[in-house]
Amino acid sequence: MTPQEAILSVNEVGVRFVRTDGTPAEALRSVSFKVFPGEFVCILGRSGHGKTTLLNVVAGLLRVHRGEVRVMDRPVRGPGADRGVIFQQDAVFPWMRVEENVAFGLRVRRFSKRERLRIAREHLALVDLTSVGRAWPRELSGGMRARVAIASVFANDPPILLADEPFGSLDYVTRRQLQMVLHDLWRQTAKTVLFVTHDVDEALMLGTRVIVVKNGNIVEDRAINLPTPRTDDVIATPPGLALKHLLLRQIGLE
Amino acid sequence: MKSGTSHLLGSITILSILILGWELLSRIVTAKGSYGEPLVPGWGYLLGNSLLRMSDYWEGGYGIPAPSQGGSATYAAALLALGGASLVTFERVFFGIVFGTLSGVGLGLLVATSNLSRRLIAPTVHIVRMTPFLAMIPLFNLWFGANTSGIILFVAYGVAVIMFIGTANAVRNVPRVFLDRAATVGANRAAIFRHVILPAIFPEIRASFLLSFGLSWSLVVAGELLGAQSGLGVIVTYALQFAYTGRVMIVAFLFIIYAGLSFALFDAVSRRIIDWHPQVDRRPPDRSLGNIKRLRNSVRRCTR
Amino acid sequence: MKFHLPAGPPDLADSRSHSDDIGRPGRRARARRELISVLNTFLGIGLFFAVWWGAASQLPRSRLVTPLDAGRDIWSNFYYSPRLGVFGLGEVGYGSLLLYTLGNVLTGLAIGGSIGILVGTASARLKLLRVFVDPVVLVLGTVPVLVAAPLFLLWFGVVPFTQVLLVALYSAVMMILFSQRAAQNINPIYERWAMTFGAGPAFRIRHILIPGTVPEIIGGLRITLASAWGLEVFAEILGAPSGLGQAIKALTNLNNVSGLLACVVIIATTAIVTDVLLFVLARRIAAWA
Repeated sequence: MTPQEAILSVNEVGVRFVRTDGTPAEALRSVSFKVFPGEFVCILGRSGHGKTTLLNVVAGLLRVHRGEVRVMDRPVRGPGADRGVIFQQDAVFPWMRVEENVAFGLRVRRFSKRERLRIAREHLALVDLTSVGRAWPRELSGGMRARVAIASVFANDPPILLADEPFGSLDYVTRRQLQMVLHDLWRQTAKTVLFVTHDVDEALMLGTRVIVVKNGNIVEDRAINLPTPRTDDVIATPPGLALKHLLLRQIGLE
Repeated sequence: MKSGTSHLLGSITILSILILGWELLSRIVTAKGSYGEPLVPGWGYLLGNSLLRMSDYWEGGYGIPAPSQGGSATYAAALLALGGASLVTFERVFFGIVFGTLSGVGLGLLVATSNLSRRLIAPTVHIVRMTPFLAMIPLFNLWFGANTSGIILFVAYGVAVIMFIGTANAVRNVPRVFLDRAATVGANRAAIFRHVILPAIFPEIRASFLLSFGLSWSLVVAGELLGAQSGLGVIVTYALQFAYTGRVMIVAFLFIIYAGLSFALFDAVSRRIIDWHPQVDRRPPDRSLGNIKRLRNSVRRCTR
Repeated sequence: MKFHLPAGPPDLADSRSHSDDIGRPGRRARARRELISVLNTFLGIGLFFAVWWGAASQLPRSRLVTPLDAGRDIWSNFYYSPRLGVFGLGEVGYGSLLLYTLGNVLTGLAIGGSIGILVGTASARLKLLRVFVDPVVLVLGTVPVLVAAPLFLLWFGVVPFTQVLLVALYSAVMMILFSQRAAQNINPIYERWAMTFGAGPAFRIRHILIPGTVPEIIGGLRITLASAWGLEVFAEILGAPSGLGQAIKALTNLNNVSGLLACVVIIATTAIVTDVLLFVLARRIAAWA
């Protein structure tokens, strides 16, 4: 695959559904974009404007009514191990010990027990959780469970990583720490990331590119050409602030 | 811990009041039944005469003669008679629960897998659920005989209905995000079923099981009282005809003890299996006070 | 088994921004949904009777009769059933026997339920009461209450009180459990909030405790009532002056399957109807729940 070939392409995707009260609604109208290998794309938008729907379509969890999604030039027909997902809700299985959770994807793919334990421990070390491998998830804090979710996805080694506001429910400090963890892992593994967020600062902190979704349409799609690492000082430079103001305007503030 | 102590004190107080109150009542109410037995037998009479006369139901063996064959009434014969009848009843409860649980959970899993089948079967389930089990006993006697297999089927039927509903609901209640997560790492249907659905529904199934456990004792009592030829219930049926209040009470006590013990035993054993569950009360089981609260909680959970 | 294709998107929040789409087609879609759900129910009920009919056609009439036969049996014996008179029930039909059963169940539920609700709600707040209530309820809640039925029969004889007492005892135990839980489940924040306005205990009971517990209590009443029917019929079979349980006992002696099925159908129908009535009542009283 040459770098210029898109790893993920979303072509004129529309998603319609019926609300609980029976009325139809359009979550996505006609959305198209391409993602290239190694990109960290942030999907930015206010809640209720279709960004989670977009992510679920790419994950294969939701059916499109129009258009198609292609991953590595094959149409998406359902969820698959080539696209790892970090969910908005806590999706760590409470009935599996932490290391079993991290190894779950490998277990499904029939890795040997030794192999998957080795990989799981390796990835737990990457997120700084070596000591709690044998714990039950209920014994962990929310931030630690988010780390488990990150480790689980990276342990399965998918080329594409999808994240749906994974740190939305965490406190500020934990969120900043986990953003760094995710950022470091992304740089080490060179995965392609699609990261949904409503937080402009988070998008600026992490993304190489940002796509703004509003009312089911893409209203902005641009590269973030700020130097890394993105410290607060970097974002506070004139180009950073200009971009921030642009994005804030696009999502409806200012 | 503190409330546990007070609960224990409460239990002891109530128990003493009941025991003493009953003795007092037996002294005040001296009415006798049509065959001369007191209607309110005191503890002395219960543990003396009534328990001893249980040997009437002993048919001999193990070198202990049966009163019906001229032997005298002994506590050994009484206990053997009660033990034998208990075993017959246990067998019915046990196999009823086993068959009922297997078929109920199996059918529940089968139906819960698709929306259509669940919706189609929902009215039937509702009708069956609302048809009182106890009103069906004569029908079961007629269909399958008033014998052990008939009662086993009756218990199994009641247990299966509860377990079916519990299982179908539990599958429906598995959080979507767990299924999604499994699907996105490439799990197929079999893997999702084994690694996600089965473990996720276990706590709810356990709650339904505790509920059907209590129910199965009721069903076996009812089944044996209305038509069976053997088992603890039959002792009651005979005793009723002669107004032997004491004997009825002894069997009632036995049922209460058995139901309570089996309930506590299953609760303790199954608790280990769902050690992972966030809602489980994990105080060590040897604190009897914690047990009371746990038991109460599980009653609450399953009567939900 | 479609695990990965939900009917709608998982985040309904995403739909909120499209309120401009609401309109006539929406109403039509809604009507269609309701129609489908009603059709589903009818199909489901049809399925039940089809299975019954199919089973009856395969079995001899001495084992199982068709729904139609059971219906005929109800029709011809509802006001007067000569075969029941033989068993000393007098000039009765299913209808008059049902009235006896219904009366006993409702009386027992009313008496036991009121006691249970009062004790349960109070015990959620009064620690001292709990100390005594909890152990009793724990034991009675886990053991089969119906072992008391033969004893009540011995002590009080073949009178309606015997059955009412059993139903009342059961209802009281169940309703203590339900209402205690209901009162405990009320978020304390509501009461604290009321207290910040200076609301006294009477106000808090009237405006928080009662409305807050009513939905769960009615839910508990429905569950209790459903089991109370079986308990009443069981007690009647064991010994009662009247009631459908006595009819069941008589019909068992006659080996009359269609009559037995008729009685079971009548009881089940009454149970379902009373349950629906309670459900409607709950909707009326606690429309917000």
